[in-house]
Amino acid sequence: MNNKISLCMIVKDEEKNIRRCLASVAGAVDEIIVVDTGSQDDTCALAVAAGARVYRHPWNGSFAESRNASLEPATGEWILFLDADEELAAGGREVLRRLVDADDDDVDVEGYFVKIVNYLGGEGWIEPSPDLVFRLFRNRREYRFHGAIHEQIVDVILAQNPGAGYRIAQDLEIIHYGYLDSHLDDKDKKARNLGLIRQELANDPENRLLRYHYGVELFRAERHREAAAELTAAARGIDPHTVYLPKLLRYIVLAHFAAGGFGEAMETIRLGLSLFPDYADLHYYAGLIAFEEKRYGEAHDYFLRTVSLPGQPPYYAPFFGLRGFRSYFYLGRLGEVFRNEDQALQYYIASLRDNPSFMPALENLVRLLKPREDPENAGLALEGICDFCTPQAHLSMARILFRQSAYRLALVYIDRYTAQQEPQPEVTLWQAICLFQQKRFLEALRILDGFAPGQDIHPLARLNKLLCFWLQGNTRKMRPLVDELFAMGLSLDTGAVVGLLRDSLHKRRGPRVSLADEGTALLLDITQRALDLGARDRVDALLAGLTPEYRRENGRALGQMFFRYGFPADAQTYFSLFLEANPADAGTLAQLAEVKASLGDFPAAAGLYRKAIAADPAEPGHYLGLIGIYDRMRLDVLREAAGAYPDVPVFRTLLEGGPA
Amino acid sequence: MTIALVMIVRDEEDNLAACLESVRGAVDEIVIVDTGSTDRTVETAGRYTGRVYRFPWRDDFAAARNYAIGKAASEWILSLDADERLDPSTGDLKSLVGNAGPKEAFLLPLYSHTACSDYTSFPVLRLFRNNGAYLYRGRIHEQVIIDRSEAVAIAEGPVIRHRASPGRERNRKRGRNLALLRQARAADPSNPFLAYYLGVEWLGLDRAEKALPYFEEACGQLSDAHILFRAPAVRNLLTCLRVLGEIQEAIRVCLAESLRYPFYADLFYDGGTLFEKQGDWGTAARWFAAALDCGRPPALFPHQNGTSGFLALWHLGHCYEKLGRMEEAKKCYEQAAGPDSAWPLADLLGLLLAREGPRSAFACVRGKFVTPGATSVAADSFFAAGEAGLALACLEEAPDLSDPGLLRRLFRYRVYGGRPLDSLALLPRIADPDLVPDEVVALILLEDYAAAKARVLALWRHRRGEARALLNLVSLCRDGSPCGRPGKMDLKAAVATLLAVLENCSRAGYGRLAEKAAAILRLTPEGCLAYAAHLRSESLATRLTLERKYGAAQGLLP
Repeated sequence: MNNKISLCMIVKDEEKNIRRCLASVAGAVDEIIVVDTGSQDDTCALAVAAGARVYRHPWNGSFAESRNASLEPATGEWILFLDADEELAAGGREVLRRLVDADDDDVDVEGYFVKIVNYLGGEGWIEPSPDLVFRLFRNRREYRFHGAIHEQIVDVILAQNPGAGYRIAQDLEIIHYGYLDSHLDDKDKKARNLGLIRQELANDPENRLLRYHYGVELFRAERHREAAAELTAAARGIDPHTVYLPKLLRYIVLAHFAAGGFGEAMETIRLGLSLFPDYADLHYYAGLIAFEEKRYGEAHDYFLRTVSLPGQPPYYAPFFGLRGFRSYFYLGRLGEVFRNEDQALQYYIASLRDNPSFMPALENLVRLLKPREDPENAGLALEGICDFCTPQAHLSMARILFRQSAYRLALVYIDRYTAQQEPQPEVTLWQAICLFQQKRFLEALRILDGFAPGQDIHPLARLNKLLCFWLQGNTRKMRPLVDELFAMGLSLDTGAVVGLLRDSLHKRRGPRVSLADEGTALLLDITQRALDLGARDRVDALLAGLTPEYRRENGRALGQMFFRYGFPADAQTYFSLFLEANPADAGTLAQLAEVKASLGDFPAAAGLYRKAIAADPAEPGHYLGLIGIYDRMRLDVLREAAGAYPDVPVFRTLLEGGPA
Repeated sequence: MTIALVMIVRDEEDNLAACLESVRGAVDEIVIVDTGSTDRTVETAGRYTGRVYRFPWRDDFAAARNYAIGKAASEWILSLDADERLDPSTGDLKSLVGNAGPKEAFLLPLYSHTACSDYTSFPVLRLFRNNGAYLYRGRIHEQVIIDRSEAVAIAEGPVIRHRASPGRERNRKRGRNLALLRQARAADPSNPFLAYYLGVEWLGLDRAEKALPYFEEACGQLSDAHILFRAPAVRNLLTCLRVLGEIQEAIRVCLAESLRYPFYADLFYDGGTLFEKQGDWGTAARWFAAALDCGRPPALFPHQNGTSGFLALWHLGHCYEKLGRMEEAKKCYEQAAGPDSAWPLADLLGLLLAREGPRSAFACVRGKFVTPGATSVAADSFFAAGEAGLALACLEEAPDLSDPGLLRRLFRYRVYGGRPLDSLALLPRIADPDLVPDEVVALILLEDYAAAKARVLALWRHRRGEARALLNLVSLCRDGSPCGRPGKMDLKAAVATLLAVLENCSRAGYGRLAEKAAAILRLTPEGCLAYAAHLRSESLATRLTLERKYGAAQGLLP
């Protein structure tokens, strides 16, 4: 038996999408009916060209009425309906045919749920998110849509024909692009949808499904608290077999989570897991909440459980990657929280195996490899872990390494990238800076001079040139550059930093200055690069131009930098300065503890860690730091004793890890 | 109805009086047969009764006992050993025999104590009619034999309490017993009771490898008709296997026996401890939970106090902790802590401190300071966590501070809670040489070095090591240098003193003083060793806090 299929669509201003959609159904359906609700663009012409019969139905505020208008002219035994921003996935033709022709055996099947893959995200980050939608049903007069938005038909079919069966169409797949950021912004869909649904809900306040959709739109509009309330209302008293219940529960969790209501979110998760114990997304969000609340033990548990769960049924509409790279990423972060670098590395690698383009995992992985301190091994490890098959991969790695001040290794990847591709100006600047940090000043200067005055990046290039002369102590060459930079119209803050650079090479001093955020970022960048080049005296001179209050405020950042580049005594000074004003800053207490330990003052280090624990008892790192101090103190005592009392063997035994 | 206490004794001058005091008013007649004392036993006995007889020892317990019974005129016999006491608060002998009806003998509960709440109860046949027929048999571990079992009743009280005697004396007796048992065994090689007793003696001498085959034999030969013997034989067999490290075999025995006695809490408790030893926390938790479900075993089964209660709960809490199930662990510790068992409170507090912080931990336990024991445990836990202020608060909440232990703590925690002057004000109420180091610390904190030194010198005669250690500390604080090495002879005491000062000062946050104590410790190898051990235990304690805090993330800890 050859059953016919009618594709019924409603469209408005879809010239960007309609061709893709209609091309995907070519040969799969027997007729195409397009109802246009008032396009101003070329949509209708494109539809006709693709073989559609186009009807006009002026927009009257109801999606259902428009949809029903598209059903009227349909002559097929089956109706398929799609939106213009959707397409039928490859292979759909055969599957569709099989479904409607298998009809003889399944006379009571009135319609099919179809798997839809929504693409979410935007530039640089797109992820698929599968779901189930009702899109294929028998063409009967009594089956008509209702609802002004998120128009429904499945409930109508059930109401008309209580014995009607519906099934999930295996292998048939629709791809939906409408949730991409570009589409959402394009159409200002959020505001329009919200207005429509609110109206409709006022007429039909008992409509659970409508309330659910309203909540979802509120969530999309980032009105999280209201979303949580509406969604919760939609879930009250719901039949646990409702096909969209898992999604509804997850939306409630997400809304609470986004509104900072962790307790409510957890409550919903617990309820959700009692109904759907293997629902990975709920486990994942429970892990996320536990992580945020520093309940790290539970977070660990939840993420481990998430990755161990089996494949998810389509009606869970599982988010992409939660059972994979996203959970592994958090497991990696937990490894870092517990100072367990091996575990962290393994989990980041697992995350990248699952999704090689997941940048957060890559960034953390690179950081753990210490690419600045140990470029050789870090480079080798990266070659083993990552697959650098595209220029883009080299560029991403270069960006990460550059941001982490690993200039030597960054240069390797920049060179590889520029060998394959004409670099963007920004990349060229990175190249210059990397050369500069290798003390290859001439090459750096040559590149810096290559930027034309009109380019966005030109002032930065000039600033870097100034930096080069500053480091070389060349006041003569600095002078014209300073004038040139001021002539460009620097911001007050940047000007202050340039002034500091100039004055730091002179005996005579201007008044001490302090900086705002912009200047501070620049100052820290310069400090870091000077320390990287070993120019301690330059840094001292530069910082001497700042007010004591300013240095105290930024003592934490400066201390970190000095410690990072091997100047513990300076780090100690700056951390102590910062602690004068912020005595309970746990992070700084812990860092000062490490500085003290590196200077051999273990009792002070232990005391600082104890204070850090008191200030922030939820941070495992402080306890682990303290344990480390005790263990080092103990080794210290044993080593000294082993030297002082060579005839007492127990100290050696203990040092070698033996029992007392 | 009249009752005679009948005893055989030898060199029991330390114990006898207390035993006889305990039956005062409970018996009508006291018959004591001395089998050759060389101390003042007979004299002591004479103060309580005129019926003291001598019976020359001839390596036969039954003969001596039966001789004694022969001297008794009362209708009932109560048989006690000198190291046992009757606890009249747990039952009345007179009413027991008064309502005996057709019963001819009673099993009384014997509580064998190692500490106040740590005891095992055994039913023992110690009260029976003096009808000339009920006599002892057996040269060693003699038993009264009553052929008609329906004539024997089980009494819930009064309880006979037994406290293990000090090691040397006990071992001397065990040596004597072993010799007698060997003789008996030679005459009757397949007697499982003798095998059981041989096992008991060897186990008492800490020779599990010798005891093991005897218990195996006893378990194999004895039937449930002799459950009074078979049940303790099984538990002792398990003890031997555990001591010998044969955990797998112990588990096998435990599984088999728990199928045979599915109501016997002690066995499930044993099983739990075995799985615990293997680190199989999940299985261990199930066994401890089963022990709790069992409740007290039937009367004929010996029962270790707590195995169906606080002990099982305490272990269960520990297993839950290891499994990261902290909330359940907390509940277990909370239930395990009782008037007889304050120590689980320390675990409860450890968890609360790690997970909820000191303030809310204090709020959770403040209603529990009902006994001095509980108050002490709580105060010590807070102090160990560096919360001297809350340790003091525990003591201040206690209903009654007259307990010497509490008073000592009040003094100590004032010293280390930043109130040295207040602590010294307590001194007239306490005289305890153990507190001198803390007093010296208080004086050092007040910079009253002269008084500190005077206090130390007063110790010089009796506590040389302690005095030297403290003198060094005072000198180091006053002059910046110690006054020489702590002496060789009493180094152990010196090290212990300094270590205590170090520990207390670092908990109190008296960093400088702690460093000074450490500096003196580092002057000797013994001190170095102690200091290193201290650092190790600090490290482990911090790790325990971390584990308690993050439970399930233990796999992540490096």
